[in-house]
Amino acid sequence: MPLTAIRTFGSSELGDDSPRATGAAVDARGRLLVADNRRVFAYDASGACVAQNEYAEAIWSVATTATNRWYGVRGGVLEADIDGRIVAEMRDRQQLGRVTAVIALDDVLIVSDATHRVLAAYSRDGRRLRDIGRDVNTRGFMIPNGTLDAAHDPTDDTICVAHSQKHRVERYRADGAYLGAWGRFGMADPADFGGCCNPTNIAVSPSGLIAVSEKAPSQTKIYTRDGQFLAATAPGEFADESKNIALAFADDEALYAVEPQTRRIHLFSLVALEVHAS
Amino acid sequence: MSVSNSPHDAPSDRRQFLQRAGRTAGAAALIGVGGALGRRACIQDAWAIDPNQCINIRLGVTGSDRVCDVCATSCVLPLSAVRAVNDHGQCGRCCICPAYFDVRSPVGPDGLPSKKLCPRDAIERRVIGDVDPYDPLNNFYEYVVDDEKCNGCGLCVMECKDPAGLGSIRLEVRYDLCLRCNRCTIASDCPEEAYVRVGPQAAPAAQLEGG
Repeated sequence: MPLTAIRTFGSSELGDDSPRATGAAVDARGRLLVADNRRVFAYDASGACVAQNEYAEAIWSVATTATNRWYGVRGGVLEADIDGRIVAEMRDRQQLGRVTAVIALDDVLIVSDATHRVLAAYSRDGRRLRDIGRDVNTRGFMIPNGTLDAAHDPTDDTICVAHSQKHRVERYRADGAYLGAWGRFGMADPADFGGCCNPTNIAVSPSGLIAVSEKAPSQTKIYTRDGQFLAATAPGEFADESKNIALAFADDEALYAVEPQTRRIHLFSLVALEVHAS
Repeated sequence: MSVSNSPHDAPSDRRQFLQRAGRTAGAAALIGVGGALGRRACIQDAWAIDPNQCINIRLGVTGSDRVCDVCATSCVLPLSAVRAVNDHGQCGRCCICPAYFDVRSPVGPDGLPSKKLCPRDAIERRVIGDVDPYDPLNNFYEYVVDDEKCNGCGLCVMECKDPAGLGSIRLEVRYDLCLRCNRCTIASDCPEEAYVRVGPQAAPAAQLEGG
């Protein structure tokens, strides 16, 4: 049974003058945060835009914790309160490029650097602690799409990475230990990742389900934590030209998918499909 | 030299003079028009492909099943003057390149598609640097188009088109091969008018004024 959106909204607030919408996360109030160039929009569950923040620089990724927001920017990470006011900055302009994913753990920030194609762990005060994945991917993460996306699995505190050119999902511990990978290239089996470089984006649900998005054809798929394929969106759910579809899970396992080019936001309910993590 | 003083000879001389003058003027006009036309079809003019109008390069959706092969089939030359060109600065150097491989073909034991996309085998795949012996996917590849085999059919361009690929492969007119036909058959057959004449002179009018 295909994954079907129960609601589609957005696009009217997200600006035509922006390159594209990037980054999505759900905050502690259940609001979807969407980054669009220098602005971050907050949507409630009905799809209404309830808040908007504007910043001095482009926001490439969004993450949330119980009380804060985290924005990935070029050369660093911004920390904001739950209403979007900047309270701190972590900068490493020498070593950090465009940060396309942020994971805020207790005392460590895990950032995806799409410019240098590396996953890195930083202390909150900006000290680079270690690179993650270098020993497995000796030539760096291979990301022709220009986005390196990673997500935190709250069930075991591990990091899942969408490695697009290798057509697989990789899992790491926060200390950098490599835990394994699943996925392979293929165009026939819906469980496989097709084309030159998929999956492009990734999110992990509170129960450990893994959602990935793909391009050409544009779609979203759901897997168990070990890579067992569960469901995919039907053809036509997303626009043909969509790629780097940002994903975010809410606490009730609802999945948001944001199309960067059309700026449409899709809401999926996994509960309705009776999808369970194994 | 004889000089005619007869009044009966004057009209004949005048007629001959006028005839001679008329022929000279007509010849000069023909030479002038020919020169003008020749200048417009000179080496300073060239045919080019507008990527934003070309179905294969940027216009419309991706997919080799929708490829337009007019550049390959309409050129008057036995092997079209159009070639696929890969911009290596834009290329992702992917292990599984949809412009090189037929990604819909069965996957072989090496995890790669078993067939190539190009019907003329005009793309060469070269590994960049040393091959990683432990992870076959941990390599970058350079994709180079063989000019002598490529006929500009557009299949690879279509598969490389955004969003499937990065759009690094495009079709271009080879000016050292193009005959610069005044009435280019590719331009005439192009469904999207993507084949345009460029040059220092304005293109000649397609119709005479007054219809």
